[in-house]
Amino acid sequence: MKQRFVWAMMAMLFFWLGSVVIGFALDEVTYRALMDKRKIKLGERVQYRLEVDYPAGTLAPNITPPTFSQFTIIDKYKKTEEMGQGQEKFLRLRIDWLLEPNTAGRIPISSSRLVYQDATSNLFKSGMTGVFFIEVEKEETMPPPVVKKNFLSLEGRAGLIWLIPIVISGLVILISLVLLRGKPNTSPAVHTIEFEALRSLEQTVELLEQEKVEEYYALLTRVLLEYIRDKFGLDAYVLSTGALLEKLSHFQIPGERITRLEKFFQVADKVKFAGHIPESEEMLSLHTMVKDFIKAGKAVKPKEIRGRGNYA
Amino acid sequence: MPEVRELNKKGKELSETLGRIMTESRKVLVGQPEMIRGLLMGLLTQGHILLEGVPGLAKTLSVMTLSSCIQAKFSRIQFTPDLLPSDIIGTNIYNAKTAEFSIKKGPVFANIILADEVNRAAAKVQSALLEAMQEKQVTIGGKTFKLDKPFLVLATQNPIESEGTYSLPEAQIDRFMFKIRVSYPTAEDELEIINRFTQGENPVAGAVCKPEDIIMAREAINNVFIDEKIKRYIVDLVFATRYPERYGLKIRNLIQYGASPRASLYLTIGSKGNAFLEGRGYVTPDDVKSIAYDVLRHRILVSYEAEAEEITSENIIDEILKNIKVP
Repeated sequence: MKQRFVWAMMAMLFFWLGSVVIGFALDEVTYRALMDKRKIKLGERVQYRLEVDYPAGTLAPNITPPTFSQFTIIDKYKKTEEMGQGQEKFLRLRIDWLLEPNTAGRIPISSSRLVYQDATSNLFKSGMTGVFFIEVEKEETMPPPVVKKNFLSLEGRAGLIWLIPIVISGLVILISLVLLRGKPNTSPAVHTIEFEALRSLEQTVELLEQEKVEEYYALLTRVLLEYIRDKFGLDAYVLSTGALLEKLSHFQIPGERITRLEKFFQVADKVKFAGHIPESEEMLSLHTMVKDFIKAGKAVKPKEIRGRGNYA
Repeated sequence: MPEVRELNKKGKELSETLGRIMTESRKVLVGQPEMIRGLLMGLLTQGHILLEGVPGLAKTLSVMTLSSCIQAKFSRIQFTPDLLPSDIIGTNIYNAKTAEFSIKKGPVFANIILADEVNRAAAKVQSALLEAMQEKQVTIGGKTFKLDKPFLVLATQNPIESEGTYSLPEAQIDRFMFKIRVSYPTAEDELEIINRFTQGENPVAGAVCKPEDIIMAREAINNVFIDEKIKRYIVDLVFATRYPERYGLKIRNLIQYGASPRASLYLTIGSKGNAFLEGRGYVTPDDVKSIAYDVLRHRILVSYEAEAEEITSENIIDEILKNIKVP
């Protein structure tokens, strides 16, 4: 009886120690959900990202994403990339969803679950993200969008909960310091649209490396059209090249930029509608052209965009 | 495939020649660039054209100028209520000296025919001309004669008079590839008209090419590449006139009849012609859009409800073009 009790105690001790091991092991895998906006208008889109950082030896983790029941999924991207150097090297799995809310109100995005096998103990372990809430406004009474510096983040693991008060304290100290220095709040210019477009542009390079020329141009065109839509309020998807350039000419865009854009669309049309395959140099130069066009948009704040008729 | 997509050297030369026709005709005609381009497009794509506009807008002068630019045989038929089919296609004439019948060909035997005020003649005369347009041949006294190449009919309609006219039935209007609206010139253009045509001798357009060049250009147009995505876009545009609700358009009550399959054919041929005139060997959505009004405006029959609200077929086309996604 006494022996059984000892065994039972040892087993309990083992499980307790095991949970500590799980706790440590979890530290090697970081799981988080991120969103680029918390407040949008109905019809606008929001990007939801799940990120997992895990050691190179670990098997690819299995993710059960949220159901997005109150959203329409516009697009989804998945990418794994190597991060860090030397012994610090790890893999980052990133899944992005571009979502459009179906209703107005305070909409939740449910938590998502991660299951992976620990490389050292071979045990299956799991983690979970928090629940996001997004405010979707129906009327156009919302103030202009505030520029985000970084993604808002909810950590997926209980192990890092102790970090939250530290982060909050850090922020409070930082804000206090800024206020104490008495400097005006120099928030960055409204570059969100450019930031989003440039980030999407990075994905096109991957297609180019895979020699998927038509897909490359399709994505490049899509990034550009979405940027034009968001920046100038033109429904670029239903406009043909000629009509789009004509409408853009009503804005305060230098003629040189319009000419370069025209050249881009001419080549893109040739690729899309005549199966033309440009030289690799041309492809890269067009990529740069799009990048420059978007970057140049940073110099123009929305209030400076003046249109005629209904285009403004 | 790439050689089809790119205009070959000859095709490029031809498209430049056609560009010169536009330049030459501007020496005579003031303004009306859409009409000149439309006429040239019809000539290149073997499509007949219905011109609609009030009198005095240089419709006849445009056609005559175009004929002289391409050195084509031109004839003008003034449609009147007493006109007979034989006045157009020709007839058998009895020669008393030789006691034989000889065939006298009518004005339809020409490269470019201007059917002026086509709605003034009776239905059987209109029908005779429209049959010739469709079949490109006529039968006189049991003998069939092929019509000259190129063969283009430009019919004019006067929209402001309705008394003593016989409106063309919808089925016959459908045979015209384009319906071009000719509008009043701008004040500057009207001033230029005064300056140009009140100095004694009227300006004359010089010859730029021969009818054979037009036939060669037609062959080059046939080789212009059109992608499946563009064809699908054309079908979507035409289907949107028939089943707008499928495309999320709330204009069903405004349309009595949508466009016929001829619209799809003419949109395809016309967009190829437009691409050729632009010096391109492939079609883009812009080509389709640029001819959509001319091809569709006479093929969409608006409902009484639309008429009551003064909504025209052009408003409907506008709505369709704005909402159908461009590939």
